Amino acid sequence: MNTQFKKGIIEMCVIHMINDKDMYGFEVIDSLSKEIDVNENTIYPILRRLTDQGYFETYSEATNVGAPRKYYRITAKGSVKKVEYQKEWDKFLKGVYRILGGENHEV
Amino acid sequence: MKSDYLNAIKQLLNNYRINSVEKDDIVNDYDRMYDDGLAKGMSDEDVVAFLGTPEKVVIDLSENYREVKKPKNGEKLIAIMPFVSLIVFFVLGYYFSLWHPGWMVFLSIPVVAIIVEMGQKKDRNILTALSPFISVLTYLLIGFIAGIWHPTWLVFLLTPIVAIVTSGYQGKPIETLTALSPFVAVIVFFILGQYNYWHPGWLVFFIIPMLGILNSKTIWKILVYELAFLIAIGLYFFLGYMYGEWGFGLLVFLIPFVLGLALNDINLVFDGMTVGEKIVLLATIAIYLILGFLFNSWGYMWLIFFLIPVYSIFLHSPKSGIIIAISPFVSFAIFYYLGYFLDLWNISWMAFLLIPITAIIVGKK
Repeated sequence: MNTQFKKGIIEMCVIHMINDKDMYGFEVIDSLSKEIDVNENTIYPILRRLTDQGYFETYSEATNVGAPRKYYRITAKGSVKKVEYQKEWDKFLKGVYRILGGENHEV
Repeated sequence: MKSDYLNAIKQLLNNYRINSVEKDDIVNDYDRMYDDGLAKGMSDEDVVAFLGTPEKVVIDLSENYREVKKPKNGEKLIAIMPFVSLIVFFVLGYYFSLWHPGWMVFLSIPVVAIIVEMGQKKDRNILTALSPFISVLTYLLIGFIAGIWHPTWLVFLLTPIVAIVTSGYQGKPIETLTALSPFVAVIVFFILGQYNYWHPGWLVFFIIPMLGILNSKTIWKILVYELAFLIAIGLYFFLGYMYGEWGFGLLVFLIPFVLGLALNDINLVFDGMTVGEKIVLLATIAIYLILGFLFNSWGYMWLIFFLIPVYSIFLHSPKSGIIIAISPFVSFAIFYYLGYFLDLWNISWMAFLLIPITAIIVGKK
């Protein structure tokens, strides 16, 4: 699959996951890589970029071992982006399904 | 292990325009994620595989940052060399009256650049790149100090010789020797010529085919050819020294030639040649031999063979490139004849400047 295309999908998934619940870096990478065949080292840069773009904010939480964990939380801007992504994705998938097997094609 | 990993990331991030707060933040994030991996029961190797090697991590992160172009070690040295050379040149000139050959200090500019650039990359062609400068320096120094311009100019053959020796070719030694043989032959020929042994010194060129045939896999062929060459050379000397028949004696070299034709190792192919090219080829050989025997012009008439490639260039090259293409031949002819006839070896080398000058004037932008 095209790398940029894949990165776009990962970006959407990361926003979706953080929208559902606050997560820390390792957790995002671990959860995502269990579901999608993805190169783990590409996830943190995406997480970082989305934070820089204002879709997430971070806060620290102490743990029993080591330094405090950095958690990512969705922002209002991130929530809007998530809805935008969802619409784009639905539209995109509909188009793809139509091409693959007509209106009622199911995966 | 963890500290090495984090340090490597930090070092690699230094190659990008990224402020220290952000850099520390990234390293802290990886520090935390590394701990999370270990807490999950992963080994150090697993964590690195999971998070990505420092190189991969930074490559992925680098999309967001601009690369810092840091001056490499030695680049500053290259940059200051013109100034250093100028200072040395003036010091040599004003205090020691060594304007000449003090100007040669400027050769250090490209030499230092080559050593620094290629040395850092451990480029094995560094000697080849340096050899033209070594040749020029040797030629000019020996020329100016000892006045031996000729045959010191043969030092210019150092470049192809060094290139062959350092090419890293992993073949048989005999193949390297064969490749070197034309240069060795030219050098020996001119050194012998210096002592007026142009003839029969030219026979040294037979080392080229005699070494070349050693590359054959067929032992009997090697023996037959080597024997044919030795017999021919022996007969030639015999006819020459005993009967003074150096001219007709040349016919004995038909022995290895005919042998080559008979064994199908020599194929005369004239198909691709125009009538004009055939005439030029035969005429140059005839003129060289006739004038050689009549006027003993072996030492300077060999340049007539340049007419063969020059004529082909006129025939086949695009018009715009003809002058540039023939400039090396013209330069060499000027260089050689000024030196040979007028003993102007000390300045005739400047004829080679014609090559870049022609290219700059005639060449396209």
